[in-house]
Amino acid sequence: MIRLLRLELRRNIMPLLLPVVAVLLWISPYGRSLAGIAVWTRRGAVLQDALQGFGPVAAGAAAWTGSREHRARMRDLMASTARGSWARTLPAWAATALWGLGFLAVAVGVLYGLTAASASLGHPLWWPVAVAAAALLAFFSGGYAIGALLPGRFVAPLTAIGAFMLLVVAATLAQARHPAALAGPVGAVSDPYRPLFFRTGHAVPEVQVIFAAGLAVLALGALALPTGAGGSAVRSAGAVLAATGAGMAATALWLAGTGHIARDSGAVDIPLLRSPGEGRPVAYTPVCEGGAIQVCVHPAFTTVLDESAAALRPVTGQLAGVPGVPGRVEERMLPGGPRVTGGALYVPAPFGAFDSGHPLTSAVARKMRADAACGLLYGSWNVTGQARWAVALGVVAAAGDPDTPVLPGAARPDASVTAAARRFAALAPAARRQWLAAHLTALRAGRLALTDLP
Amino acid sequence: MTLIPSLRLVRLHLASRRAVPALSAICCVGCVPLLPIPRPSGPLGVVLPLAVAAGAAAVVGTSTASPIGEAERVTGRHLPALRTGTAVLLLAAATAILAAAAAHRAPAGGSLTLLRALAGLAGITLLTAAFLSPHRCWAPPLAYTILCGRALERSWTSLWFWPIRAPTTRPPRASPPCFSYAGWRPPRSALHLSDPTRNTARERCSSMPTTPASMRCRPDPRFTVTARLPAGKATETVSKATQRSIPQK
Repeated sequence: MIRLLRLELRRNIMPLLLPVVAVLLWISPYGRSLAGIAVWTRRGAVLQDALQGFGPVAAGAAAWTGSREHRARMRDLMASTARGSWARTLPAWAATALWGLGFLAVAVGVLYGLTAASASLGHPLWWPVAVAAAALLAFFSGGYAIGALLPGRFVAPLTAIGAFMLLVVAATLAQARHPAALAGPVGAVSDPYRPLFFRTGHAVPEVQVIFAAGLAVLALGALALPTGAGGSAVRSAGAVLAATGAGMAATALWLAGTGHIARDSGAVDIPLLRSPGEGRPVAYTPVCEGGAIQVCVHPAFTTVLDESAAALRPVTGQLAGVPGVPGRVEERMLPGGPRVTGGALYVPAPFGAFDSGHPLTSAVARKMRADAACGLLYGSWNVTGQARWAVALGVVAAAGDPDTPVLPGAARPDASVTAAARRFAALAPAARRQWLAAHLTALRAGRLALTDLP
Repeated sequence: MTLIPSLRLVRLHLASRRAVPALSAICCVGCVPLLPIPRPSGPLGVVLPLAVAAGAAAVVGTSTASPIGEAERVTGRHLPALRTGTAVLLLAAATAILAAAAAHRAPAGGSLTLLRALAGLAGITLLTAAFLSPHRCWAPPLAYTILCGRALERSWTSLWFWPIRAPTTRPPRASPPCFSYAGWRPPRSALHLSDPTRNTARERCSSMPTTPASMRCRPDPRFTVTARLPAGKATETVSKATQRSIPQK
């Protein structure tokens, strides 16, 4: 059997398709994530996203391998051999799957090796690897079973395209936040950075592994059901395997159906698999950049701290020392707007920009400054009142963003507000700080009108 | 020997190419958009019809395989016409089936986009079948379809990803294989359209579930025209590509 496996490994179609898979992997989030900031949770999530390209090719290759006897018109000849078709064809399935799993192992090694070299916090996550491996096995097993049971010239392309369509449908369900999408390996419904800030259990990957493993076992069991698959023992074992696999897949779907996906935060809750403390904030000590108003980030984002601080400095420099203004700005995951707690302003971190691997673009930096200006001045993004609006716009304009059209949560300002903002921005920095020190409390209380501004 | 093949020869040739199973397979693929699955929006809404077109094209390409092999070449001079006729017939049938399916439930982008994708992908598949093997011709179109999905997600507007371009924009004159075969390179302006009315990347990526929420709404800086920065106040770090697009006062 080992010799047969060795032969199958040498004469498998997967090595021919690996360059295509490598290209698809490179253009997938896997390749893009290598250019971004190295965070273990993010790097783990891209492994599952990579299945969008790898999975259909794997299913097609397995179907091609499974239909080989029919394609080569060897079925009658092979039926006269000593082994049944199940034992005879399993090495071909194993060889195809081994090539795919080997490629996945290399991809994981490269990804995690590069992450280990540059990540500032955390450790490798193995659940995404388990989900990717189980899903890949399901693709191989399903494709092989379809190819062997429904042989024909169209089986390989239709299996590959069908697998791709299934993944698109799974992603569609995830887009609709349907609980059944939790069983699928692709289409993440939760933010990969969420585990850095909130405790998350392993419920979702557990469901995904059970579902994928169930499908793989079901397909392998189905291969043993035809008459020529082997003796009664083999066929009985196949029936047991198929029933077990179907039960596992159904259980996973049922577990996913009991889950709930929060629309605002993307938090996933599967009550039957909930772990204690799930959803609670994770305690961490932020890393800060020293300045008049400190800018702090999660330790996993240490590499982008200087860049974030530089982007916010035009605003923090203006408001430093003004009584009532928080002395610290911390970027973190916030489902809503900013909030001031314990003398610190918490604002949403631009994870998307951090993820791109490029320096912050001016648009992202402008948005960060506008968010920080409103948060530092008023503790929220509520800029109702023309005077509050004009002062916030003036601070942003003085920070070098005269073209900022709107503030967070506000509409486009009218001419009088814009004119007042320009006047405020034209003040000398010391005069502006002095005016803010004297009037910030009244401004926050909404007691100032537009005419009260300098 | 007559120039026109006999009806019996045509029937036998179609049988050797599994024309009837091919039509059945195309029908099955064409019925996928009619299934009661949630209609996706955003990039997925474009990718699903593209996958349908890729499936039909793969069937057309795979049907060119000969069960007889080299011996078929010496049987007469009708073979080129029969091969071409079979491919054209199957492609026409696929076009009719997908058009009928699209008439029942119009895909995202419209029926013309679907038929255009079918024609182009069938071209890629047939070329692959001719140069590689009819049995393996499905792999490159599938990879190209996945690539187009990624291009859609990343808002790449290159003409090389013609299947995902809206029909309202300037249509490509030919499919990519024809470009490369003729040695023609599209002009740079055609490769990178920067029409702001078409730049709906933010809308599209915001609804893409395959990427997490934090990665959404991230237009590619190469295609993003950023705001003006006043001279001397560029305290922020700006990407090189963006810097080139900023007129310095």
